[in-house]
Amino acid sequence: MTRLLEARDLGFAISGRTLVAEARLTIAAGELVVVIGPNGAGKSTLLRLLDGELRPTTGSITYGGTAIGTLPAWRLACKRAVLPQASRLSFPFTVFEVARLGLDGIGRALPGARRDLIAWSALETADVAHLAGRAYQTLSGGEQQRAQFARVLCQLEAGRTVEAEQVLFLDEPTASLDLKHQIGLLEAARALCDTGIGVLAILHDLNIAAAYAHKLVVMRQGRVVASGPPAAVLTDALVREVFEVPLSVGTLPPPEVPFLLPQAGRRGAQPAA
Amino acid sequence: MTAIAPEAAQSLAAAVAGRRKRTVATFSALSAACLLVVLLSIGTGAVKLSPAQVLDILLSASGGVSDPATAGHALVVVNIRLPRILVGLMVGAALAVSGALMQGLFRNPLADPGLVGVSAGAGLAAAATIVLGDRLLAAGALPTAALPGGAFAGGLAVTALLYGMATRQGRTSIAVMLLAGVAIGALAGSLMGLLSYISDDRQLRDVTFWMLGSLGGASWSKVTSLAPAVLPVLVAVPFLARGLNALVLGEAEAFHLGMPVQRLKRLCIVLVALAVGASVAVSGIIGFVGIVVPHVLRLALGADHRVLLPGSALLGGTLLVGADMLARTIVAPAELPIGILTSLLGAPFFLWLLLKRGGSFEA
Repeated sequence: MTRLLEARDLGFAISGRTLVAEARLTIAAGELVVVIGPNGAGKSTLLRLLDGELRPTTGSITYGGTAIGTLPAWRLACKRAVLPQASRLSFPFTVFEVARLGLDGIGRALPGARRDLIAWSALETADVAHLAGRAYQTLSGGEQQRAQFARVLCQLEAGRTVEAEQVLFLDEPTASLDLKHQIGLLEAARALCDTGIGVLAILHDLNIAAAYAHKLVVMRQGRVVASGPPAAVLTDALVREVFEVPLSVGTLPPPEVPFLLPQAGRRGAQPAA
Repeated sequence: MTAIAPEAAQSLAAAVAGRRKRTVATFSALSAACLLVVLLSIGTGAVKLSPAQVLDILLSASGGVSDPATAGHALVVVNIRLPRILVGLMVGAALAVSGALMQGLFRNPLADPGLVGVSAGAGLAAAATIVLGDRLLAAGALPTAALPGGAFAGGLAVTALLYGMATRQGRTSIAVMLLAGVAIGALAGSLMGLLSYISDDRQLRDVTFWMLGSLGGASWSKVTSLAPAVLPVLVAVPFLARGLNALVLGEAEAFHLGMPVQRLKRLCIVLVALAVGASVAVSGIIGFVGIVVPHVLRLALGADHRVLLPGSALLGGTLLVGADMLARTIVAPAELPIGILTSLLGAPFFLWLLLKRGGSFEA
């Protein structure tokens, strides 16, 4: 498998506090990497280091062998897209305009009709096509998140005309989504993996993480404490130590308690790649 | 990706086409209004001319005029009215576009060069030139370039100070810049008060009239001093518009989209300082153009900066020339300072907008 991104001995400290230390991580083509860990474990900082927003104090990040520091902003934008946790807009952009923002920078060379087509199919995939003409500010949090997802899909599509190797970062993408759209978003992420894109997502729901991840990366106090396929990583001991809850993996609740698992709807958790 | 349902694609196409049609219609209307106001404004004053006469003079200006009465009219139009209107168009465009740039930069629809102290800094420097210049220069008469030079320097000094304060490790904090701008504006205001306290009667009159804003002193030399400061802003609009659109999502998101965010912010700040400094130097402090014009356009056309910035230039220029025409006529033969008029009309209008739009400013 092609390594799209490689981070070695990554460290980040600000005003004397170490937020990430000695982190080591790779994202391969077609791989969905899910980062889990308690609050304050350094997950978002790690993501911001990998996407180039923050400069690491130690260690190195390479995209397909090229050091991240040598890539200009537009070039990096062709290689990776980022879905932030929540975005507020101060001006009344429509959903269609928000999606098109993903194309106005790096997709400027594409003909107008092609750009419209890309934007429309992105809106369809993110299930916000019916909201295209609405002002972004008037949408619910979940709908806003889906509009942002459409923008990110547009950016990937535009970047693909320049770069074959792409990485998508999702920072708690499901936080404000209902169950249907949580599953929809992760299905869309897996569909992107099938086209060769590497995806890194921060998730809090361990069931969703286990159902969709090819690889789980567990963080605690700024360090990567475990990494590997979900079945190998998610153990009673790890859950107890990292999340500080005495839960055991694979145990059913008592018969009178109903439960729903996203895995029930999926065909096998393991990647085809 | 999934195929698009035909009816969804159709309604989308209709929505997009509708927005584009509206943009074209609004721009046509704005251009027509601009032309009309310019023609009316040239014809208004002690010598009254009909729009047809004005057009006739403008079109034959290069060919030479035989009729002595028309020649007299042509003299008024070319030497007095035309430079005043060009100054009005440029100052109006500069203020409105600066307002739109600042609002985009601060991601706050209430930002304005007046708000972050750029206008006040330029004003203070100009007032200081008027009041202290006489005392420092023994000869008494100030060189004509002193006032515009002072105002321009003041605007740049405030902007540089703001930028220096708000930038840490290569990143500009918009919140710090906004707060520091309010403080600098207040400081400049009180220093201007101090200056008027120590000034003599003639200086006080000069400072006061200048602070109220007027296009009265317009001349061809002012047109040529204004153009190099205003035109670069208009030339940079396409690059700025794309960048500011991305910046609406946030600084990190704009960077994710591939925008050179720091360069964009720096360019915005320098261009605003240039345009506002030059405008204040030529016409004093004229308020509310920078905040009302972009706001009205956002209501009509949406927030896309590719439409908003050129639209602001057009509407700002038109509005200021129109306001100047009003200022020249309502108390004729005297003139009302145009700054009074724009604040008198702009402030209540803006309050009305705020009341009507209510909570929509909270993003």
